[in-house]
Amino acid sequence: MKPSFIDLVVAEFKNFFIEFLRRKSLIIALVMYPYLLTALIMFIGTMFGSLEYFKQKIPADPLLFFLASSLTLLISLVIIDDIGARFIWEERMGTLPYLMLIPTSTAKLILASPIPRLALTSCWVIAVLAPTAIVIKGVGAGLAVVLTCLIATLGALCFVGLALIIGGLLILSRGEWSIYWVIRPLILFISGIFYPTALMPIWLRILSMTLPLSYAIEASRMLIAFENPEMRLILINVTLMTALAILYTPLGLKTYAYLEVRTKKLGGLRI
Amino acid sequence: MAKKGIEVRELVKRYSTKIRKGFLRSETKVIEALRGISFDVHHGEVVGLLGPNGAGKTTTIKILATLLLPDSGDAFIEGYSVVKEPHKVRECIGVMLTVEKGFYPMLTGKENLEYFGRLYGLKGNYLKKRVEEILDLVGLKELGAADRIYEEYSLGMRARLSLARALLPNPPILLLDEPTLGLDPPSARRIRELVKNLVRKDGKAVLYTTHNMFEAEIICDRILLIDKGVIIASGTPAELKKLVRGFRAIVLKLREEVIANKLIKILNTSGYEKISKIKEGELVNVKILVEDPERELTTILKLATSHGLEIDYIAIQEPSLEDVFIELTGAKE
Amino acid sequence: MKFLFRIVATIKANMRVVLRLKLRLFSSALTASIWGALFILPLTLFFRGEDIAIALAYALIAFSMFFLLSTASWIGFNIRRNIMNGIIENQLVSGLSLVEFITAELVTGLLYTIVGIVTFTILASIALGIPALNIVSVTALVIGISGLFLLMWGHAALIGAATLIAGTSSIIIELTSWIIPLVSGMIAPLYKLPEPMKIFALMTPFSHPCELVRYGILGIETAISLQLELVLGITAPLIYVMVGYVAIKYAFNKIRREGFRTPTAR
Repeated sequence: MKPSFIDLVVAEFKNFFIEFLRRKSLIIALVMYPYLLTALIMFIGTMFGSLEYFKQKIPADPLLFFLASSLTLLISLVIIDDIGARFIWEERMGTLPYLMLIPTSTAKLILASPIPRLALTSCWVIAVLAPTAIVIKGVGAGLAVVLTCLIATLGALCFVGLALIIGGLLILSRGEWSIYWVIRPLILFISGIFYPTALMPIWLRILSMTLPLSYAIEASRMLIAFENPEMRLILINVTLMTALAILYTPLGLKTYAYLEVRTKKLGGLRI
Repeated sequence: MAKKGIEVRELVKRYSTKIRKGFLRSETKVIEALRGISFDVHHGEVVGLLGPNGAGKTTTIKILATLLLPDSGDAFIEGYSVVKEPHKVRECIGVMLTVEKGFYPMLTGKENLEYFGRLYGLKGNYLKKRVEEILDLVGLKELGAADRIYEEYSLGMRARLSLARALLPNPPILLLDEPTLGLDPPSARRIRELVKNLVRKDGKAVLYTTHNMFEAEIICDRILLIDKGVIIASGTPAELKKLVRGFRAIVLKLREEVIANKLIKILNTSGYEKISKIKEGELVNVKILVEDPERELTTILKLATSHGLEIDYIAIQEPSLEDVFIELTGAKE
Repeated sequence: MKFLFRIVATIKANMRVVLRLKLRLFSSALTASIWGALFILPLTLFFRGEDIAIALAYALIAFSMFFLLSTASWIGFNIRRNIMNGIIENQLVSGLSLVEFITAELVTGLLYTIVGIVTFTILASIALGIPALNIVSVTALVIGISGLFLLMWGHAALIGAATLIAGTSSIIIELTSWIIPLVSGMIAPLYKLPEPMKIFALMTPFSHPCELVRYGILGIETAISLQLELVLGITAPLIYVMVGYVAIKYAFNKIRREGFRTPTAR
């Protein structure tokens, strides 16, 4: 019996929520991470430096700037981890071969797998961002919060193609953790998760232009944290990341399929 | 003759591995895991793939399970090619790989089965009913383990759950890779009984890898002896034993391994070739295959006593599957 | 002397693994550097353009403290996993004590940490400029660094004990590795902290060696007198080591009696 994509999503939803509710530490992590990341940067920044200098460099509210960045980081990690690194987690648990044995393409399952966590994290983005934004910018910020969340989620989805390529490379490298540990922060760094790409050296800026996440981060931060967000720039960012997604997603699917076959030829699956 | 469930034709598989030669230097070595093996498994029979470590048993199972692609040759499951039609093949097989892991540790046995069931396209009440049925069949319900998280499972429970997953979509073909490895005798027996029943009642075709001779002898209808990627013999256990017909085994039990090694050396120099050594608890068994054991026993005893070697127990046995295995693979220990 | 011999033997074995897994050492250094850059770069936003070298120096020290504590936490956390996987068991029956095991692991962990910090410093120097590090007091620096190593030992032992007894999850360990440096004065000078936070930080063993390191290499004044800090910089971590020692001994005896606590389904 061949499972449909909906069957796979349902399976992933049940699996994720049972595990999520059973591991209370996961709930604590989801709740605390955006605050911790923001607190760490703001704390050291204000202890050693000054908010004035920050405002001179970026015309944005620093708290909303870093909070939006941290939340976008959380959403981006859903895709990087659940698609890019799903294989090595499954390989560690010994479940990978059984997932590859289901009577449908593994890529389909991998695409279904981040949906539950993405849905939950997106809701959490609104829950964290809304009160802070409303206190700082007033009730009118409500719409901006929802739009920020949508842009961040869309940005993460636009990253699926590249995540599939990373996943394929990881499976080909026999679940080499070292590669994953480097790739994970590198993507976030190049995308300018906490540091605007505009202030980066030119070569890094060019690299960041190839990642859909960079545009999502830029647009979501602009929308929620900047004093006078320019809608035109936000739209350009959203368009560019969508264009990259249109390019990367089919490429990712093809590359993944090729790498899976290659792994099976080389005998790379650890059982 | 029943319908063929598995057809394997001239499968060849090579792996290349890197051998470390220094801090930065390494050398690539090609290992021939399978050298053109062919065999069939019919519905209603258990075929054992028997061989020492590294013989190619797991590689065969992986190829049949579509987890590995052969370099040449092909295999067909219910007529579907594992190379060209992997999705179709996956709809027909239930696979059991390592027994100690392979499930989500924080999910219960039942939740794990429900998850994998959904991945197989089972849903709603049918899925629930099927999971209950299978849990009952493998005895996990009776052990009160269905609602316990996997992390708490013993190895025996894990093996049962693994078999349960393989049976969940009710596949006509089962590929079981050393399903009783490391299990306690009651759990191992339960798994064997289950497999036998499935074959008799449902007519499933089962490929069963093991290096446990006793197990192979009692569960398999036919056995394929594989060594270094080649099938060196095949047949029913009785047929295989005939390969060493004319021979019987003299078994000498000794207290220490050093004494056993000394005895083997003496026997070798005296022209005895078919000798194997197996540890059995505190004792070491030295087995010598000879044509006329009654006559040879006197000579062997004379040799042992003249060198001051103490023997604790002597017996003459019919050759076992193990003797066939040792004789054909050349594995002495 | 026998215990030293056992520790050295374990370190040697660990080092062999490190050298064999060159890619892992290289990637862990690179990973640490990228994470460091990820958090340190935004800090420069709070400084004037001409003060980047100072910002980098402050951030580098803060990052190093954070990294050291994190290394200690993971060493502690892995004790349980290594026992459950049968890795430590063989070492224990061969005569290695848990105390010796932690010491050897710490040395190996330090290698990774130091390589990470050095890689980050080199990369940051190339990209942004050389951090303005300036040794003001060798004594304070030496006592501070020694205190930090003792702290790491005590922390690894305490986390090890907690995970052995309660089966604490990796996420909780990660979170504590974030919270402790934030609230205990490990990453910011105490004199800059609000009064209640400063008092709290002074009561923890973490702040004292860090204050000495900051004074020794950045010239940042300590919140209490330097003489007192020089004493506390080593005694507070020593007390922490003793607490860690008692805790790990207790935890190990407890699991020998009762076995591991595992989560249960509801």
